[in-house]
Amino acid sequence: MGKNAFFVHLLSLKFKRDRKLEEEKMVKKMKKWLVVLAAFAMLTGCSAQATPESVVVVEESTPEAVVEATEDTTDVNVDLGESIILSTTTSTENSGLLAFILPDFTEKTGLEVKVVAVGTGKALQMGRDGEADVLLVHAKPSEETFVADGHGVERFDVMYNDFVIIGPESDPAELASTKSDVAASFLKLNESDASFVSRGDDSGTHKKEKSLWASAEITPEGDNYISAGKGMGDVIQMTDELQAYTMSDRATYLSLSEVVELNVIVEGDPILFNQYGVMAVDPNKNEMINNAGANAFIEWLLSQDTQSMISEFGVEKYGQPLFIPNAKW
Amino acid sequence: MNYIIDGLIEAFQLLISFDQEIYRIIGLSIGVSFTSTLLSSLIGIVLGMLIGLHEFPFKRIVVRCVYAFMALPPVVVGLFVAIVISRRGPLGSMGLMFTPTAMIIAQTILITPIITGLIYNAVKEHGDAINEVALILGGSKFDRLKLVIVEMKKTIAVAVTTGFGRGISEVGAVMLVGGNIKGHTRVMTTFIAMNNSMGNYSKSIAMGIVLIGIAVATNMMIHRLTGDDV
Amino acid sequence: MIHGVIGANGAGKTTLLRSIAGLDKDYLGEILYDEKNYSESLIQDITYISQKPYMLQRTVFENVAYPLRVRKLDDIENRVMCILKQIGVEHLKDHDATVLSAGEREKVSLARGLVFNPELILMDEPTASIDPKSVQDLEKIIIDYQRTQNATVIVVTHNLSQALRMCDTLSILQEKDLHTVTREELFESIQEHNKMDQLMAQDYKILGV
Repeated sequence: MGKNAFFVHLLSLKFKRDRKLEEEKMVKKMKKWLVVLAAFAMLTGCSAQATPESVVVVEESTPEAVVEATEDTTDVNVDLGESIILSTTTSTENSGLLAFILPDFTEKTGLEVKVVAVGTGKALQMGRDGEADVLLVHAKPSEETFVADGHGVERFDVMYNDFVIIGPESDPAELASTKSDVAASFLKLNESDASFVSRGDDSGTHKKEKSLWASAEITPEGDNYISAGKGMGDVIQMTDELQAYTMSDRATYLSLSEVVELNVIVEGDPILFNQYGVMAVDPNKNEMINNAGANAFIEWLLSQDTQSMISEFGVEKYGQPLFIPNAKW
Repeated sequence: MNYIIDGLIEAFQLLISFDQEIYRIIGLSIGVSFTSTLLSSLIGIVLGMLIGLHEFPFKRIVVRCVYAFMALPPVVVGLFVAIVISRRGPLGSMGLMFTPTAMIIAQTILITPIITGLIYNAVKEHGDAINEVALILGGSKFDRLKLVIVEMKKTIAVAVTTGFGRGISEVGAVMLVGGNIKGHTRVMTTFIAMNNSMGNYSKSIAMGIVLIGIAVATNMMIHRLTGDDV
Repeated sequence: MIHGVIGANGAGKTTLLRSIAGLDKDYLGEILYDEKNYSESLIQDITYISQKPYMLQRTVFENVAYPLRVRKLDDIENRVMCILKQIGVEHLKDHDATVLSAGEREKVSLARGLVFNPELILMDEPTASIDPKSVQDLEKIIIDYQRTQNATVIVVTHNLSQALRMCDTLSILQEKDLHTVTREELFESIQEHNKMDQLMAQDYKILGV
């Protein structure tokens, strides 16, 4: 035999099969300890309160967002940054107004406007948290509180429109008979078994609706009062499906009037007046706020040119402007 | 019934109208989901294989976690990412909120467990056998990993397609961290949701058709590439 | 030398073989190869052919060529064709390896495991799920290979008659104990105990001899 054969020797070989069992025991022990720890943490955590105030991020700000707040319109040396975050309501964005007027702003200042459309409640919260640079909402009392509390720099009137009560053409609750008396029509609604859909999302519209119920001294409740928790467009469509009543701003209603079978039932009551306001967020909240950009935006929004653009919006399509400018000089 | 038909007709008209904004939205959707899927694949394939081929302490818990995270609701992922990247969050100074980057981050977090889970599941069935064949026939660590990947290429294709499908069709995460900002973070899904609530059915339907088309096309392409003749 | 390992199912035959192959390291004690401990380089001289071999998703030729490619050896065409001929499957060379019958797979697996001329060949029940004709073929191939290459072969089987046909020495694995005997010794002990006789008789009936 030429090559040597390969020899394999086995010396006292033993195999382990219990590895898995050992691991399972360890896991069970760990679980027990985790439960104890969790219970402990919950007991101590309950008493602790952690609410940071506005957190000032101490970091180097990027060269673009140099904050030099100034209201001098002729100062062209201020760096406005690249963009601003405008927090506004869904009704404002859905109406199409912003798409109509914002390109003019970008053309004049080179600044991009990032529009985040949420409910008024969320928009104000974003302002409080410093997540936006400028707010455009329609809840005047809340806006004034916002500024008084130091979250906003100053509040300005921009434009107004009105709210309307819309419902099915047949008007089963006979609200039209109250002519333009909202309080009376709400009383009738409460007495009838017609349904009413509420925004239910703490938006400007929702706050307005709540104040109307309050001034009629009614607490809306029951199966016929539907709290949707959605934007105006969705609420109108829901109202259409249910052939119920709801309160909407005129602009959003007009933009949907062709796809829903609802009419304006009550309008013209002075209490339905809907004022829009703009505010810059307090720049001291964090390093990321673009105050220069916010101020440029406000200036432009209140300018004569922009205000007349606003008054033109919607006339062609609906025969009436959707918003009426009322900025004060 | 009429409005559905009208919607469909208007949808087709819209699709061939070469609207810039529509193309931008479609492009962004694909870009965000493609990038997320790519990143998720790099992490998920390697992770899935490592877990599938090796034993280590607490492996059972890790595997259970992977399976659990596969079912993460997109909107919850969006919520957590938003909390972290918002201006007052720990990463606020990076200015990521309302950017496509944030959307990619959120979708990657969403898709990675899916790919990891699918790969792990397949590897634990056959991975050992493949690994051992390579080992015993003289392969280096690199050869072994390469062989597992090559042998599992159909599984990988399925995992990646599934991941991409999940990404491009979710609306919760991209809405919360992107904000549906016109021209910046508006994608197909948020566009559809927004237009639906505005009553613009034809636009929603048009975009919906495109979305379905993309999902189907991606599927067919990948399965053709891996030579699936079923 | 062809060394057999037999024992009942679950006795630990596969674990033993895999440990020798270096695939399972979970044991106490030592395994020595020519008086030396296990090292990574030993892999190059060892081959392990498992019970249900995994076919790579490629042709038979490529399956058999794999170990040569991975070791960066040359003359692949010749070596592969040579072993394929030896084992008698060269007609399958361009077939998709994943659609072969059990017998064909085992042969291809064998070819793949022998193409790089290993010194130590470990086989786990190589003919367990194969038809009788192919069983005969495989046994012949293994014996031929061992004689010509002077390799060491360890075969695990639960078929006593196969063990007697192929093996020079045998280890019987029972209750974690290993008794090693030569073929002659086993024959003697079988003839002494009637029980074993009956077992043997049954075996031959199944094989149709």
